Order: sequence, then C-alpha cells, then structure tokens
Amino acid sequence: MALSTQYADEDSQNVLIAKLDNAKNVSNILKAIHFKESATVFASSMGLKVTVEDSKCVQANAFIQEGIFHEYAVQEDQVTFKINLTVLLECLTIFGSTSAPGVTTNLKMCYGGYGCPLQLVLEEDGVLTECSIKTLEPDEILDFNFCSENVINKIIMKSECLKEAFSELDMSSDILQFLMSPDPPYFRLSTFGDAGSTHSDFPKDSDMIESFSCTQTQTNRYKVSLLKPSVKALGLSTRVSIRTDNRGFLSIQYMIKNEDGQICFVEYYCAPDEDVSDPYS
Amino acid sequence: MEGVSQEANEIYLELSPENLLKALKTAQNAKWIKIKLTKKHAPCLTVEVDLPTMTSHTRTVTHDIPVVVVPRRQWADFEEPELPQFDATIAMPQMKLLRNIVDKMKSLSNYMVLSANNSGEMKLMVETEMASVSTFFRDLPNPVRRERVPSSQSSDLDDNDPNRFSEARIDIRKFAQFLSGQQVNPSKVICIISTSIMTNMDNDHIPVYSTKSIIQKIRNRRHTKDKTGIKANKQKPRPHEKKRTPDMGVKPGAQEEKASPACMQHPPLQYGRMSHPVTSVSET
Repeated sequence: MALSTQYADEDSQNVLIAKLDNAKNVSNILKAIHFKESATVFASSMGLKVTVEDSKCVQANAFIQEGIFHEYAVQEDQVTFKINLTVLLECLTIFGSTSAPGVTTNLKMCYGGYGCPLQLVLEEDGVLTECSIKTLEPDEILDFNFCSENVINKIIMKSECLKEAFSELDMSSDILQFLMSPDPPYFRLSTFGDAGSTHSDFPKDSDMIESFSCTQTQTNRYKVSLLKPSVKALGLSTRVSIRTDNRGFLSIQYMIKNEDGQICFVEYYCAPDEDVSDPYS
Repeated sequence: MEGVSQEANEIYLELSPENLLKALKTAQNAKWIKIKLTKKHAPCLTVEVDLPTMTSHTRTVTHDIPVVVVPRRQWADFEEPELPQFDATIAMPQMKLLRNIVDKMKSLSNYMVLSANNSGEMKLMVETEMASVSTFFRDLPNPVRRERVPSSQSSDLDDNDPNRFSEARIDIRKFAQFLSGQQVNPSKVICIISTSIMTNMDNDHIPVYSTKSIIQKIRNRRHTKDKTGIKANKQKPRPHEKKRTPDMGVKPGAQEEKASPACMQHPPLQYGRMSHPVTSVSET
C-alpha cells in the first residue's frame, strides 16, 4: 500500500474531508465507545457518527458534530464505512496520549469514497505522521427504535455520583438492575453478586438530579458485561440522561465536554436481559 | 584501584546486571556506597552501602556479587568496533517522542522500516494489511562523517545524492525496548544505517570514555568468529535487517539472533550468567 506524500486535489477527490486542531477532541470521544474492534462511521453534513455494537444487545454511538472541526465537507448525502477502531485510535494517538501543555496534534481526515482507505495526516511540533487505514463494507446497524413518545421514565443527573456508583459495582453480579419510579426509592441501582446484593438509591430531590420525570414504576435488568464499557463514557461526561421505554430498553446519553469546551454526545442503548420474567421488583 | 599493569590499566569484569541492580536498589537512600573488587570464595564485586538510621548507629549493608574476571587475551573481544561503512548517519529526534510513536506502532506490527537520508530527514514506517502508518521527521542534524572504511559494497553514487534514503527494516519490539531503556535522556543520539548497522550514543555530559560505550554489533554473515559465551548473552538483542535499495537485499530473518550488547554510561560491562549468585547482607 503505497502512501503518497502529496496532498492531492482535495475537494474533487475526497468524499469526506475533516480538519481540526486538536486530535484529542476526536480520539477521546472514540475511546469512550471503544469496546469492540470495529466501528461503523457515518458522515453526513451534520457531522460524524461512529457506532459500535455488541451481541446485538448494546449499541454505542459517538457524535462529533461538524462544528467541532474547523473545516468539514461531505460531498455525498451520506458516507458510510466500517473501520478497525483499534487501529484508528492508535493512529489518532500516535504522538502519545499525553503531551506538553499547549501542544496539540493537528488532524486531517480524508476519505475518497467506497473502497478507498481513510487517510489521516497528523502533525505535532513539526513531526508529520500519515496513516492510511483500509475501510470495510459496513454492516447493518441495529435500529433500537427508541423514540421519545415511548419513553416512560427519564432522569437527567450530574455524572459525578453515578460515576461513583458505577465504579463500585459488584462485578460478581451478572446483571445490573435499574428501578425507576415516581414513588420512593425513585431511582435505584442494584446488583446481586456472590457476597449479596447492593442497592444505590438516588432520591429525586437530590442535588445531583437535575430533572426527574418518571411516570411508572419500572424495574429492568441489564447484563453488567454489556454496560461495563459505558463507564468510559461516564468518566468523560459531566451530565447524563437515563431513559427507559415501554419495552424496557435503556438509553443513556452522556454529555462530554472536550478540551476546548465544546460539547459532544455519546449514547448507549441496551436491551433488557430477557432471562428475567418478572418485570416488577 | 589499579589495572592489570601499567600499560593495561583496566580490569574487565563480567557479571549479571540483575545482581548489581538489586544491590544498587538498596542504595537509594544511602549516604555513601563503596564498590570494591574482592576475593571471597570467588572474585566478587562487593558493594557496601551505608544507610541512614533513626539512631546514631551506622548500618552497613554489604552485597557480594560474583564476577568473572575476563582474562587479558579476551580483552580484544570487547574492543569498540570500528564504525563501519555507512549509508546514512543522522541524529535522532527526541527520545520521548520516538518512544511514544514506536510504542503505538508496536501494536500495529512487529516490523518497521526506519529510513534516513543525508538531508536531515528520517522516516519510520509500519505497514500491515489493515493500515500503513509513516512518521516523518525533518531538520535533523546529519553529523559530519568520519573516515570511512572502504568497502566494496558501497557505491560512490550514494554520496552524491543527499536526498536518497537508506532504509533498515527492524523489529519494533526490540527497538521499543532500546528506547525505553534510555533512562537518562541523552542529549544526542546518532543513528547509523549501514550494512552492519549500529547505533551510537553520544551524551555530552558524560566523560569521553563512556560516551563511546554503546555499540551493538550485529553478527552478520561476514563475522565468522563466534565469540561464544560472552557475546551470546544478550540483554537487548537487536536484530537489524538492512535493505539497501534495490540491488543489495538482506533477507529478512537472516540476522535474527546474537547481538552483543554493551551497556551505557559506564565502562563496558558485558553481561554474563553466574551459576550461584550470592548476596549477603550484614549489619554493623
């Protein structure tokens, strides 16, 4: 695979061009959904959406809107490709994860269209790195069909206390149970592990909870192994929105502020664990 | 401390670096340490460490590290080899930056191509089925070449084009090991690409004697003498493969084994294996 060092006539040849001054604004968000090796990238005029799925039960989406880039152009309506996320992240962080304060890595991404590799050019302090990563045929992406009309319970809260709860999760438990209700205990996370069960309660009038609208008592269980990767996104976020719908599907949206103060979103969808038949606790 | 004789005012010792490391670890907070060559039941490098204590008593910890005294007739084996004919010599970029980049490249592939030219440009490249990643450095100083050993294999054409790249295909993991081993950040590291590649470290703050002490010689087809035992012990073997475009190719894997390491910042110590390492601790 010969790598050309010339920068071809960009506008006509590339279906996608995106440039930004600080590659971390992309790599940090992508790290939050990096729980599988491959990801599907959707580029539209609104920006990039990168999707990772596991077991057809959990899906994570990272949104990097076009405003994050200082230059962004998409020639077609929608550009889609699958790519090895591990390799992409290694390339985006090629100059190391930490750098001297004030030094950022410039990034330019180009994609020529179907069958072309994704080309990255990264520059830091006069050193240039060019990467050419093969793209793959995109897979069918699951549609979790999660719409606002079907949302039964919704909570918006600060990430801090949820981070604590998630970091203390009993990993010997297979499932994580979410109880959301208009009545006490309002919001409870539970695990059932080898040593016993643990419950974390969040009262609705707590300072941590910014918005609470639960219409029905719902208890849903989700596999811990599927939700564990979301802890990365939680760690980066400042606010979190937790919603469940009438089927018991969970949607968690994370608001992440990047180094330049811009806001990006990551969302996780998770299907309930079907081994449990009893919907009420 | 005296050497063997007036003319040969040196003593060559072979020891296991692990033993020395363990001994020195206890000396982290030492007031002083003394290193002596002694003869206990076998020749030993005795390291005495004076450690601070809460009371007024002194506490001395003694380590006896067995060593093998290298006989004079073998001293020639440890001579710094001549700088060979080279194709390109260039000062390397910042170690820290290199380390970061090479660490990332390490996860992509086992081999990388390192190339340099005489115009101050260096390129690191990794290529796999999935991706191809190249890093370019510019404006690196090309040190002034010293007297070149004539070799039939070099062509004078190389001299004329400073932009021509010479490349070497190397094992990334070994290169990364080498880079991570640079605990004392050298002010200048010179990389030489040649058919018998070497890397020569120049640290301006260390006395002249030890600046030349890092040489790794790859046993290539031309070296028929097998200095067993000593040379075979590798701390950081670095199999470098040389690929000169396009006619002289060295096959990958040809020089995988046996590089003789020499360590840095100290008079050359060769690594050896001792059968019964003994460390004794005594308190006074």
